[in-house]
Amino acid sequence: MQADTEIRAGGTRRVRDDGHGGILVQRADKAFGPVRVLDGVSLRAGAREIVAVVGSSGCGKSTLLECVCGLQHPDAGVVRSEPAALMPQRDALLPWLSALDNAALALRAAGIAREVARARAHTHFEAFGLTGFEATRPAELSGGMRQRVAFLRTLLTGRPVLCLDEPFGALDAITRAQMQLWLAEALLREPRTVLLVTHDVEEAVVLADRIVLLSPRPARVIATLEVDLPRPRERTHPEVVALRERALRELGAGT
Amino acid sequence: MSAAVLILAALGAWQLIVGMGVIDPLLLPAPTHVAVSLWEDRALLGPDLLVTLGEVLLGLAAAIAAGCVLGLGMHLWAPLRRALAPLVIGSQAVPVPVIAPLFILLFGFGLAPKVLMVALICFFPVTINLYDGLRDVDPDARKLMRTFGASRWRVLRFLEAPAALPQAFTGIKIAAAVAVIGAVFAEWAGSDPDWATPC
Repeated sequence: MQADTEIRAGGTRRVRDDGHGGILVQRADKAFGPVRVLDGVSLRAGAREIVAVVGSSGCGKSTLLECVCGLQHPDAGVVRSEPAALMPQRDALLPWLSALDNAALALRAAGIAREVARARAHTHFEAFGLTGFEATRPAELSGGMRQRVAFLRTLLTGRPVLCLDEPFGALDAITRAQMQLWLAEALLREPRTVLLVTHDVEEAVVLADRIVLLSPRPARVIATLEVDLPRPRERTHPEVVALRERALRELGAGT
Repeated sequence: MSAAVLILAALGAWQLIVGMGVIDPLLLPAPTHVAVSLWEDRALLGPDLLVTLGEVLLGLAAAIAAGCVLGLGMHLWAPLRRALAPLVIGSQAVPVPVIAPLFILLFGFGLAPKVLMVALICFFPVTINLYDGLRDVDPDARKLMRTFGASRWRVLRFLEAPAALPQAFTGIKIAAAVAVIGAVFAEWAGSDPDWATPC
């Protein structure tokens, strides 16, 4: 059983051990000075569920993730999550480290010896399509590879919750589509509770079990859609298309 | 290669201007004349050059050591930063020609005031560049280390120190460039010819 961290308004933390899996956000408010960012946001993710948070750029999605990761505290409301690992919007790979050392960074940060950390990271390199690029620096990796290294680094934290902040936002359309398929497969192999922030509605429908639609700032939940479709999901599947259109309509961008 | 060409061109222009007789050779001797004098007085200039070089290297080493300790200290400990920042910047506002004679009076005509003068000029670019380098780390990478639960020491070791290295070296380069100014001014304020070259 995994100990939960409960983060309440005011920054008090309480470790819980009630076996609750995943994430629970209840009526979370957050403001930075006069700018209100979150306005009574509620969402939940059961253990090993993938929940997508969709909203326009700058609507407070990243702040929500940071609250779940414990980097921010809500002004009001409750954010409760099992220990979460963040994959930042830009991959934040360290340019002076090789792909292998970047992947192993979370282990090194936890105090694990270099060779042990490298060996553990390397066991995943084949499945991540990174074999042969162990010594390559991030600047020489393709965009898709950088994201895979960043995702591996997040995975190796060993946290049960992964917070992915627009993981494929900076990729070209073709690479993004490939990476979405790849992520779906990777999460089948290594199931985790995932909070996926994205502005790509289709990405949300293809990957998530539940979609939370947020309004422009301050972020308010417009609607929560359950995605009860079998995997792998085809983009052209009528139900996928229908759900995508419905989500876009809810966001005020429907046709 | 291109630098050598540029230097040769400048020397050529210099030679040409003096050769045209526009300027009194007493005020601006031709480069050939300077070269001849350098060679003829080599017995005098050579050992002195070594003495100055020694002062510069010792002063620079002291400045790098002090700069690293101060830059790191100011980064890691806010009270130290608040206490030291005005002093560190103030130390650079003191004119070298004013402080150099004071150092001679305080520390004599030997090696100490020269090294101190060089170190005083040079520690600043090292301190400031290291400090800024440590601070200007990608905020996303910093957040990442926090979510990893990394200790203060590991954040420094895995993120801040490697990220700050290029800027720290920029500081050291600037320090090396200005080191000679400090040494020359301190020598100019007063030197005992016997301390370095016993005759």
